Amino acid sequence: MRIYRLIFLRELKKVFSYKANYIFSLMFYSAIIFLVSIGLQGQNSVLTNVAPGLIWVAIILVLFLSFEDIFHDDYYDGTLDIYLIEDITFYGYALIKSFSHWLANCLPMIIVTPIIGIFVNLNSEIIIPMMVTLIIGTPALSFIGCMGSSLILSLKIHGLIMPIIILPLFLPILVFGVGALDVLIFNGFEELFLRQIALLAGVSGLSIAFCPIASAYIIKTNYD
Amino acid sequence: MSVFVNNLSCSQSGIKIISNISFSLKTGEILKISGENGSGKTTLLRAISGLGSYNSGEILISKDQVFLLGHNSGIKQNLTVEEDLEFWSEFYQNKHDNEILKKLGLSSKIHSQCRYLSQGQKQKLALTRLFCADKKIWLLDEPFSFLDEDSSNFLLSKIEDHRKNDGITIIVSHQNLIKNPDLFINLGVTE
Repeated sequence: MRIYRLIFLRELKKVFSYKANYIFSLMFYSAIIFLVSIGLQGQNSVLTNVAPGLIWVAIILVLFLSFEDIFHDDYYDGTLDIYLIEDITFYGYALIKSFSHWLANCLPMIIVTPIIGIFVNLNSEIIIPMMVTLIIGTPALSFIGCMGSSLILSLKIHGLIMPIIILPLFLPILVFGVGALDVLIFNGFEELFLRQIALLAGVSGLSIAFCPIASAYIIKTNYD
Repeated sequence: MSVFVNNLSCSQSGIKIISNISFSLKTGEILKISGENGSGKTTLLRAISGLGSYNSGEILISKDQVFLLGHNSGIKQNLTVEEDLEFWSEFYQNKHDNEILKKLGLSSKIHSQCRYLSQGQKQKLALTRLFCADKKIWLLDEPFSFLDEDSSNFLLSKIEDHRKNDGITIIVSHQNLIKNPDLFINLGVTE
């Protein structure tokens, strides 16, 4: 447990010591939202209605930029070799990488979403439910993304292989995440909102439970 | 403690790289492996360390006592030398020796980010991890690469100390710095 805690802290230190990485992610996230709001200027009601979907899609697009590097560094700089010799389990390693990816990439975007929401006329009553859906749903994005990242671990040229494989896996998260907010915006049904949130939490829970197992298996096959 | 390798064969993508290698090492012994580029030196070390797979044969080794110093040493570009040293010190639960840092000329670089180190300095940083780990079986893949003469001599003295402390060293090197290995294997030319 001590070594896993150490590796987790090192991951966070590594990410946050390279500020450009997450600052650029936040800037790209803001830029997408800002450009769409400029494109739809004068159509405030349309913007309000599409805001939840837009925020979710922007987050997914930004995350795609970070998925490629999740395991890449450790694999090519020899860190993964050292961990394996020291009997660090592939599962524990994948779990740490996925969780630290969520903390470093998703959490900053969730935090700035209430401010970003101003650009897209995000209704003030929707801000808290929006944050709830993001907090529940984005871990699934990180964990599925990590699984995708492990798929391209030993490929030097991979292009669009990973996005094509994992994009369909993001669909349930997008459907339930946006759907939960849509029922609030258009119908105001809290019960239906909670049902969608429960489904989103289910998908997220399944991703957290199974994706590190799949990642661990895929990383192992890269070594065999 | 010993290392026992019997009839080991490895292949990659269907091409046989190592064929029927056998040796055994006891405490305090050094094995030097040489051979042309692509003759399977690194493949052999990785198989012994447990990282690489092999087709046939047998390897008996105390895995918890293995330290592999490979071509890449787990150095993170955007962490400082100090952060790297602290991490591995805590990882191996063994404080790094400031004297070693001084001897390797890394003391003045302690607050530098690893991205600004030269290849030689990175190799020296990797060596500090070797000394910090306190393992009995050293697998060293070209450890003298990029090192200046003083640092090479320092490493040689450390390898000799390791031998005296009943450690086992398997060293892959093109240079002729290890003068008196107990065992020597030449993997020969690439087919």
